[in-house]
Amino acid sequence: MVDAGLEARGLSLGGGHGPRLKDISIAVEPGEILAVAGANGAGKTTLLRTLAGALRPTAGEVWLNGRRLPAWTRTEQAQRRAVMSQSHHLEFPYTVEQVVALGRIPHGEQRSSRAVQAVIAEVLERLDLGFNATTRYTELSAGEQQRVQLARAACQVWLGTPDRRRYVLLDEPTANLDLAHQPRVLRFLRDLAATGVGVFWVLHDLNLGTRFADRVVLMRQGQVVACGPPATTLTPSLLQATFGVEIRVHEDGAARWIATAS
Amino acid sequence: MACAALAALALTAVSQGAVDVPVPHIAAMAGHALGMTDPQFSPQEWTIVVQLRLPRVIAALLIGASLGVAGAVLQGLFRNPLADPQLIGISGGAALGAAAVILFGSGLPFLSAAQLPWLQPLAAFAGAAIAVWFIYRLATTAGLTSIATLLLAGIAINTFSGAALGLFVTVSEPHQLKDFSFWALGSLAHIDHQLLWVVAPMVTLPLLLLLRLGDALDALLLGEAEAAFLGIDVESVKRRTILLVAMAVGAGVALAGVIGFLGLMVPHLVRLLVGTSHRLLLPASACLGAAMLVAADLIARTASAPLELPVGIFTAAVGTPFFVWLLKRRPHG
Repeated sequence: MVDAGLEARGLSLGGGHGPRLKDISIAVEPGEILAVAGANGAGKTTLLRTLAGALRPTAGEVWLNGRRLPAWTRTEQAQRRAVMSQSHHLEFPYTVEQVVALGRIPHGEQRSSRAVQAVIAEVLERLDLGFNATTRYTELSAGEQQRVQLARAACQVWLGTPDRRRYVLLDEPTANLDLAHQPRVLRFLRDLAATGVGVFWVLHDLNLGTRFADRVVLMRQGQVVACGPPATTLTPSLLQATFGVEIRVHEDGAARWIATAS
Repeated sequence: MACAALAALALTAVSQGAVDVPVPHIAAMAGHALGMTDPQFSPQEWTIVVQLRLPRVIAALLIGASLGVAGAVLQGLFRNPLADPQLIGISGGAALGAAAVILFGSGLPFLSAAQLPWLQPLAAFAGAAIAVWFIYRLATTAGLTSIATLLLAGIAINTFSGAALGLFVTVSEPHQLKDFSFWALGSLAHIDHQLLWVVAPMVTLPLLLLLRLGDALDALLLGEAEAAFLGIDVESVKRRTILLVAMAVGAGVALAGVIGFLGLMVPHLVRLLVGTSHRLLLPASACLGAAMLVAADLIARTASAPLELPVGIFTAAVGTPFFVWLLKRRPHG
């Protein structure tokens, strides 16, 4: 077994109405984009939150870089793993810059220092938020807020962290994005992965997954249906087993387009 | 600069009043106290300044700072711009605790008179802590605080505390009555020197500790789960915050009763001035809260001198429309 990676080892999680996760063993490796897809309620967000340590598994363990997750302190975990959830509401008018700077809290730096400011400026620029650095977060559109939260998570695992093997866990990071910003965000995730960050990406648009993920995990009812490169997992039969409806995959050169049959 | 302005304001407050004491005389008193100069002031002025005004201004500084910081910290902790120590019932709980000591304390056989000044702020602290704990349990489910429930819980505690104080009034001795009436409105007119010595560290210490929670409160604004992902020990931060706020606010209430709305207004004004980041917000709220209470108390005792009005009337007169404005401004429940 590899000793680098964010791993689920036989994870199960009980819930009110039966198990929410059942014996899941997967791993995100540093530098790869792992997309997680499945119908609503398949357990994608639950798996994300369990990997992040917010939910305690009833069986199995989460391992981070070769050690059990609870063996790291909270701060050590936060230096190696950032999370972006689905809700982005803020009650007070922080500026975009201030929200992104929160990502540096685990690193104990002066947030006004030149090094931190440089990281923030670069991340904002790459996510097309450079003009908004001093705008109030509460005045942004949903799509812009989503990019700010992504910037915050990226800032948390940016270079300069003590360990090169870092991870971001993203829960539908492209849900509110317009067409122009989707590829920009995805290129950003590619670049992030290239610096050694493992990206765990809960996905709602399978067609994006085929183009940008290194591997895809398909989930149904708290279990893994399949895990592997897009070419072997995004097949009509596996997709049908995952979503329960008939699905067609159109191949157009290297690109694949996924749509329901009806 | 803010510190210089605050010092100037405090000096003015010591100098002004029913009898004005010129600032040079105050400076001479300070010099005399340090053994440097001959007394160039009348004994009467000395009494006014040292016995009456100085303790009063110190109390205003301490209580103002504690209310400003408590408001800022509670608004951050509950992620709710309407949180205020008085509105959500913390001050009411503290007043109840302190009043119970006045009523029953002298009857306790194992207490000497010297221990009473200690017991009162401790009881206020306990009352405040129980109130915050109750509010928090009631209004927060799964890390989310309902604004409506928070304010309703405050109403419940304030109503209960008001009723209990009313009961105390009806069964109390005449000499205790004056004490009770002043809990309700808040006044700096009768600062007990012995009590001030006890309360000063009980306010200062939690304030200094609360100032260090800036990062954690910033992170908490993202949500409790998000703060935990940033490495913050959310449960410990919440416990510490609640205890420290209860101690600072409770001690202040034991000294001067319930002074309302300052904790609500100050953080909002500070956010307009220096922004929302707690690193600046907390110390700036301490300064502005202290300045506002010293100024309000100065007005309360000079506006219709020699008659004195309880300072709580002023803070409520300004604070109530401010609260209504905040309530109207909110787009959603």
